[in-house]
Amino acid sequence: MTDRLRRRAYALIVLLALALASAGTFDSDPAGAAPFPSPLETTVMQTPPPLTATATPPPSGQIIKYSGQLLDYRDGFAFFTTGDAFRLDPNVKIDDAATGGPTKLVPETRIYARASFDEGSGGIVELALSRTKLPDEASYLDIKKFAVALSTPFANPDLGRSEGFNGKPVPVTFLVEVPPKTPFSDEIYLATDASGWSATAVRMDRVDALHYRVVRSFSSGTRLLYRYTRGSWQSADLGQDGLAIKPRVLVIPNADYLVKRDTVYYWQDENPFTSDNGSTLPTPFNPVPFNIPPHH
Amino acid sequence: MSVLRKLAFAAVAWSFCTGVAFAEAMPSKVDVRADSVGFFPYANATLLAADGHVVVRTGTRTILGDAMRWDLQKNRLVVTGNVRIVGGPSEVDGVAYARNLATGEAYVVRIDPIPATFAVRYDDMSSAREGPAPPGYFDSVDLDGQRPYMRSHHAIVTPGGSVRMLPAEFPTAAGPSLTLPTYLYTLVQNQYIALSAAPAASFDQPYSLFGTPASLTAAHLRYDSTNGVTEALDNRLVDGDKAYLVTSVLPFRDSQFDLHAFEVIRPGLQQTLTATHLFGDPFVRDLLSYQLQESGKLLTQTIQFNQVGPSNSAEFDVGTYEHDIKHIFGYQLKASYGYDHNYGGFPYTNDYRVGGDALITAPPITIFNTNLTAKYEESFTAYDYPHEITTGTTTVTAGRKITPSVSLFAQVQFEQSDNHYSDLAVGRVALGLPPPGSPYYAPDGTPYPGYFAYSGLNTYRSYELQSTINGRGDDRVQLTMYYNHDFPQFHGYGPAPLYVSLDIVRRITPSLRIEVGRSYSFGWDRQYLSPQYTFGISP
Repeated sequence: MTDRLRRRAYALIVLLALALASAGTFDSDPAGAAPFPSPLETTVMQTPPPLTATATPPPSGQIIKYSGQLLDYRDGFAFFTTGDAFRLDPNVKIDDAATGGPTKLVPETRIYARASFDEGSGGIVELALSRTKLPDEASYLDIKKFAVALSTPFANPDLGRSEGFNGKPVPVTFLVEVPPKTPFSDEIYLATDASGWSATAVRMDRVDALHYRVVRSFSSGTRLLYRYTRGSWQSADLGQDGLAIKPRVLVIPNADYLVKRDTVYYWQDENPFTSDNGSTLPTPFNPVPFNIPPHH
Repeated sequence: MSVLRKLAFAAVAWSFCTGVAFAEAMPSKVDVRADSVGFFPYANATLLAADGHVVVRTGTRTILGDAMRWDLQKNRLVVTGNVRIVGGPSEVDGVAYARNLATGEAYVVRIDPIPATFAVRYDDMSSAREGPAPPGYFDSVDLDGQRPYMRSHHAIVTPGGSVRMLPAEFPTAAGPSLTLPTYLYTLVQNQYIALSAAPAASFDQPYSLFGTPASLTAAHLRYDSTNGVTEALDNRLVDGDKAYLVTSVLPFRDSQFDLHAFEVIRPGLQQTLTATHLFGDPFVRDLLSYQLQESGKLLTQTIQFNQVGPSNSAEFDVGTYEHDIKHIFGYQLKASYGYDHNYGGFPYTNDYRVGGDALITAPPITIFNTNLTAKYEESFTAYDYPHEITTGTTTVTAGRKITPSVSLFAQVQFEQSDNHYSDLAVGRVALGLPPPGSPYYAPDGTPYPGYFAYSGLNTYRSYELQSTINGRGDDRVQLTMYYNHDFPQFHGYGPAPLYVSLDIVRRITPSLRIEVGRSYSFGWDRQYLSPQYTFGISP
């Protein structure tokens, strides 16, 4: 019982501390002093990053190399896009990643860098810069202990390539079978979300009377939405039930090539279930005045 | 003012006002300025990239930095390098700022007094807590060496709606860039956002004016051989894949208003409404069509109503899907019952009809490397007014690849139309049909056979031959020839007896394809040669 009371008392104290700490912060107190809570000012924050990791132990002479993209380079730290900051050695050497010589590049955001860590001090003693991505060397786990601000060493699933896809271009053959009523002289097109749903975005080539084909290249991981048309949205494809359909979806896999076979069952302007007579009102004198063959 | 015209004006006003209202009700716009702002609409990630002296204004906040990457599909914004966030009580310095605009979650890497990452929500710094960012939150897509779709120094983004650049420069692989004072690119991925209700044109270049996540208003520059260069204005409202409302106005030459509306009421049941008002037509100004379509497991039914000026018609259809009989042949059947009201018609203004349609198809077969298909369609319509139309159409198509790059296709089609009245001759005259001795005349002066045209079989024969030479990639030369032989032949109506067209397609750059076509008609409406050109540019 006493322990429970004690725990509650501690919890109350912590809550009070939380309330006090948040009272004088950025938005709640325009005239307040601290624009942003510092990890050293408030008990709300977690314990500051492990300063012991950045303390300067005796140099060991061991060098660990790690490649990544810079977020920033300032105030004695190099920040990588993982969100981690690494302390720079006072005598850090900046050079070119390809030649090892002097470079005109400046360490700044979006520049790729290969950092050489002194395992003894934990600081970066050399920063080799490049405008292009550098090959991986040491793993993040090897240099994690040197980070001042830790983050998670995984690729961003939103901004990077989709998981499992390498992004290489994949030739995709779209092969579509059209309905028998398709006019012989009409063209078949592919309309995609990538082309703003233009009904004439990609013209297909005739294979035979009922088949059309086109080859387009997409990066693996691409999620493509598409539909078939005869050049306008009034002549777009319909589903097997003769009704409007949602766009077809194709996710491009990691493959050397891909063949996508589709079937168009009906065209919107040739729906067999709608009236043939409604558009032309028959009159006693002129029931179907100039019966035009279907290709016109 | 007719009811339909009032409806048209109301729809236009409602549609455009709603579009503007949507624009005002959208989430706050985000203003991006930088030394360079590029827009990269890739299929898997639509990116806005800014480099050099980046200034991002959203709400009361201003975010400054060296670079910005914004995935506009996922609404993830990352600003890196010398980041400053101002607009609050005081400034905040940092190294990187990443914000999910959809959830309001943001992460800031600060440096004072030592580097640390903080999570904040809705930019409310009082709720900031220290801790690592989610995996790779600050990663940025590598765009070096890639050409943007358009670029500028200033972009205004409506999240989920559109990107507007002022001005907008469109770089090309080689040669000068095209620059426009402003350009709006819609981010809406809905398939109906590109619809237009305006009549078809040979050339139609849309220019978006306003965009929201559920609407797009655009002006169109159009060309067609009848009206020449014309302008159009249209607006689309979309509700996912469930519904859309598209309105179009051609305000100047041959002015007209068009409306298309579509809704999926439930799976298997949908309705469509189209309406047109022709401002300058002296005879028929209003056209309206409504269709309710239901598809079940075995049959599909359609109820349709049409209004053309003062006349109207209604019809009920029931049909089967295409059935395949052991890969020997396929068939499809349809039956219909309809009513027509023909304003001013003599002797009857109202008429009922029944109809049927059967389509039989043969599966493709290959003989001597030639691919053959065949189909036969039979249809009939019987009116209460003693009149019947029966039509049978046979179509055979052959295709053969001569060499890997040369292919040949041919189609032969015969159609016979038996169009007759079942009354006696006396009855025909009594019903007002023209007597054989005084036929009507077609607009081109050709004697219109009138009654005699329907007393026997009409025969339509068409022969089509198409040869295609495929070059590298998209390059192609295509020659198409038609020969039509009809009985009776109405000059000026129907197909020209002879028609030849030549189309040349050439890909100039990886992103530009040019199509040039030229066609000739012979012996049609007393014109022995009527050449036409077509020209198109496509990505």
